[in-house]
Amino acid sequence: MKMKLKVENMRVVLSKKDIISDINLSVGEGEFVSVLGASGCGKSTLLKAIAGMLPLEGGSIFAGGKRIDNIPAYKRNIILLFQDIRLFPHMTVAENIAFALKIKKIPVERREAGVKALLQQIKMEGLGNRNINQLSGGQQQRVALARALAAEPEILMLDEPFSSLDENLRFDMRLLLLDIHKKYHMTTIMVTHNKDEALSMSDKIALMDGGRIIQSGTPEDIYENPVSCKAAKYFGDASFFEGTVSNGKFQSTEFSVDCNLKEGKYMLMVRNDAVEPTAGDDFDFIQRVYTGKEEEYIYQHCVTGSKIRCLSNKKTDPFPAPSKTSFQLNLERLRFYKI
Amino acid sequence: MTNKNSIFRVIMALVAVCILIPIILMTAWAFTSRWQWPDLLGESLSLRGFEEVFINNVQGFRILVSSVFISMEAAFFATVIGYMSAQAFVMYDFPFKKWLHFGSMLPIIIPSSVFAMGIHVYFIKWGINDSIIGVLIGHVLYCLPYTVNILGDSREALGNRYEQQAMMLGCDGVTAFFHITLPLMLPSVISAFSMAYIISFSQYFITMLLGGGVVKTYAVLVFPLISAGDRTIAGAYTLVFLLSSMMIFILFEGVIKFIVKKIVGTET
Repeated sequence: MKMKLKVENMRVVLSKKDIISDINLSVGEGEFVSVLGASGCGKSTLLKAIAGMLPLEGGSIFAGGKRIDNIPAYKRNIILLFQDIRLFPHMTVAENIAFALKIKKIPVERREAGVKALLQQIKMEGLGNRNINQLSGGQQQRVALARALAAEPEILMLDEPFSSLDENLRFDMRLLLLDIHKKYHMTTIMVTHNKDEALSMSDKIALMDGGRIIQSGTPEDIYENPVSCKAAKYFGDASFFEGTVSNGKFQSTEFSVDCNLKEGKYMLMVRNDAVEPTAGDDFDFIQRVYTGKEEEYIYQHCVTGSKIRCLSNKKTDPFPAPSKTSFQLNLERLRFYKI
Repeated sequence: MTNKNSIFRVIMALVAVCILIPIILMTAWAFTSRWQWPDLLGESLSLRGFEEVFINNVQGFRILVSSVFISMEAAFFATVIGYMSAQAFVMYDFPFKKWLHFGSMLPIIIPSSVFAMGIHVYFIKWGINDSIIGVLIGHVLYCLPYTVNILGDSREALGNRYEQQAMMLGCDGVTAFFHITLPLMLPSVISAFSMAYIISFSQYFITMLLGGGVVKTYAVLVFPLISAGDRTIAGAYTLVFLLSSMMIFILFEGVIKFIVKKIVGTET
């Protein structure tokens, strides 16, 4: 795949503090990459630096093979859609969409045709003369997307684009964005803290923590094989147990598991779908978490107090769950991290 | 909510009355030959005041026109410099920012006579006393605190979010200013210009001192006439003052809105 964006050893310092450092990121042409991470981990800073709104303290950025970190933001042809949408309030919907075309001095007829096609694309035909304050949050988001597309950017970047939308709108907007991404073969980078969003939409995910990318890879890879406890903990549906490996066996108060690891202290990660209740009384039932599409039981170890999450099968597991149980682990799904 | 609205309306009505009553009185005086206490109305209609303004005082109209131009220039420069200062104070961090901001307010903090005499000393040194350029600089300096404050508040409220977005869409700084910032700040720009214009146009002491009697503005012309106590003439001059200022405000608002509409109004 042809490389569209390459970030090498990027470092950004704000108020004498390292906000992001050692950032290396490659995005292929037409690829959809999500930058995932908790609030304050530097995701938005990364996008702003790529867009040219923040100066680099070190490193370089290449777009389409050309170094761009030394050229101003308005010449990079990389568009960043901000979290707060930022539609121009003194312009109508059509004027907002046509803005980039006007700046490029595209003739009026072509501008009008472009706006019409984009309004159709975002399913807002006939609303071109509306004022921005007459639109709903979802409509504003769609107009912002159309305005960005009108500029025909080489790379489209979105900073938490759906965070202000309700769940239904968010789903629709995800579909629209993916549709546009495929139709225009757009190279897209999206910042999000929503793991489901990142897993469901991306070709690749870059997971950030503390201003660094701690892992990048396909959604399947990053979910199934997190490289560290931090990476694993981000996805939230796992339990962790500290123990020691000796003689090919991981031993903690809660579990004893055969493994093929060097001796030392390890953290065992157990996903909620890798545990199966079995006869015993090591764990006490403390909570049922029902989310509609799935149901989880939370148990607590009767000695250490550590918690384990167990995904129930709603069809076969009758509720209430057993008040005391033990668990057997699916060895293939376990992950160990040296500590 | 209704209660609050009623209070607001009463306050607005009081403000309107306070502004309108003097205008009505001066208008009545301008067209009256004699108006003695305790008569409710003046004795007879008279155009003596306007004859004095437009016919007898041959220099009056010329001074009015040149005064309008001086004040328009002063207001223009005060608005432009005020915007740039406001932009710097609001958007950038630099050493002694707070002190400099405070310094920019000094012309209205210290008495205008002290301010005028202070800059007069320097203008004599620089050889620009008793000249239009000296009067113009004095007026601009005196208007700056108002324009910096008006535009600073508005610039702060606007932030640089829209400019950043415009730059993402391919605008350089200047294009972003004319397409985005200026249209969004238009009400404040008009307010700042109007405020600066009226301060400059009504400035008597600074003009007298820095102009040394050589540079005559409308305020300098009118002040002794009003002081003389002839209310008919004072009324006529005041009406001309008011109407010319109103015309300038309308003209400026029209021109700047036309320019902005030319730039922004036809995006598609």
